[in-house]
Amino acid sequence: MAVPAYATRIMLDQYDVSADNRQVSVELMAEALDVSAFQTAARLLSPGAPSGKIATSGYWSGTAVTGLDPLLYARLGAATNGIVSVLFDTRATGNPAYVQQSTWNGSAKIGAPIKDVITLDAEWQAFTNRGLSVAHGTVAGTGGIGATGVDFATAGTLGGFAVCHVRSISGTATGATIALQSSAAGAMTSPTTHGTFTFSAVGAYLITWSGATGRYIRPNCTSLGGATNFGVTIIAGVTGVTG
Amino acid sequence: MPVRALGNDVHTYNATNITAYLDQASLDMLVEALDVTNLASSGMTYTPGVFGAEVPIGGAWDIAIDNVFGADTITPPTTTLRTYVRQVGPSGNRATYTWTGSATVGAFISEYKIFTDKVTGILKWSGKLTISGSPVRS
Repeated sequence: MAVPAYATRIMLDQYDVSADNRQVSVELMAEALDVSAFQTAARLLSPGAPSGKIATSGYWSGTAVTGLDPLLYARLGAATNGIVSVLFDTRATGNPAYVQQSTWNGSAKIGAPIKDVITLDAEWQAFTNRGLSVAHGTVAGTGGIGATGVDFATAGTLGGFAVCHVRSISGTATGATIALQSSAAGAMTSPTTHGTFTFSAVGAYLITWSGATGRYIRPNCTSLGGATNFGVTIIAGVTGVTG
Repeated sequence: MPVRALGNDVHTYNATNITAYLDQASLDMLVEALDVTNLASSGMTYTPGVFGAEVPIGGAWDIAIDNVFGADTITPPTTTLRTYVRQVGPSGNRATYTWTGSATVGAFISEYKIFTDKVTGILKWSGKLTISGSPVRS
């Protein structure tokens, strides 16, 4: 079934820049290495190292702190890398999302077409991980974020990663914590904790783990850290399962 | 008699029928023309080189196709390439090209792109299956 393009979300560290963009592409490449040899009448090829590129095309909307212009310029060739995620089919959690865990802006182009609005395009090139969205919303209390765990179809054995974009904090958070848990059951009985996001400010946070991962994953807020609530977008990937 | 494309072009990649996720596809089988022109030639002269193939594909994006190609692009097959079967034509008048996955023969996705043409449209994808080795045609 076709998925509407508007149901796409672009996260740049703690910023949801979806409303400032109108086009996006996620391009994954695995270069074909030529391994042709004597005594074979056909070209032989083997996949090389994978790489990825995220390209966005949006609107230049001024110099406000949360506008694209300052956000992209601050990350243009930045020494301190950030986290960029693109989530597809955001009408529900459990859909694919692509994440560059450590990246910087390689291109910011301001265009001024005579018959259009001023545009601002950007490119991010880095190894790109694939995961599923496991949470997006406002967390106002402790406990599991979501009624059930997100179904990853199979369990994993090779570890995984998760990123948490902390988009907003209402009040003051000091050492707020969200545990990333998996279970063999969607009800999240006897969950295993793979890591904990600990934060006191908005931003983007990464955890990785090794070993077995249950089929179902759900974040669990274990402390608000004194905040009234916070807005988060969380993506998890299981190596060998999601990519 | 010409054969329409709808319902008469079936793609199977790694045992998954991906036909329903394609709105464009070709099978580009190419043989490089090696220049063997010499001073005695009366014109440019070529001899066939080795066989090669690739399959540009694309369509409306769906989680099902993403589960196939998204995961495979990030973690490409390392020991055994993917089996790719292409059936062209209706039953009774069908050509089947089969690359059975092995260490040297088979397919892998070398380019996979998810994109939006316009924000009010649908999410789309395109890709390229790179083919290694020769098929069995039946």
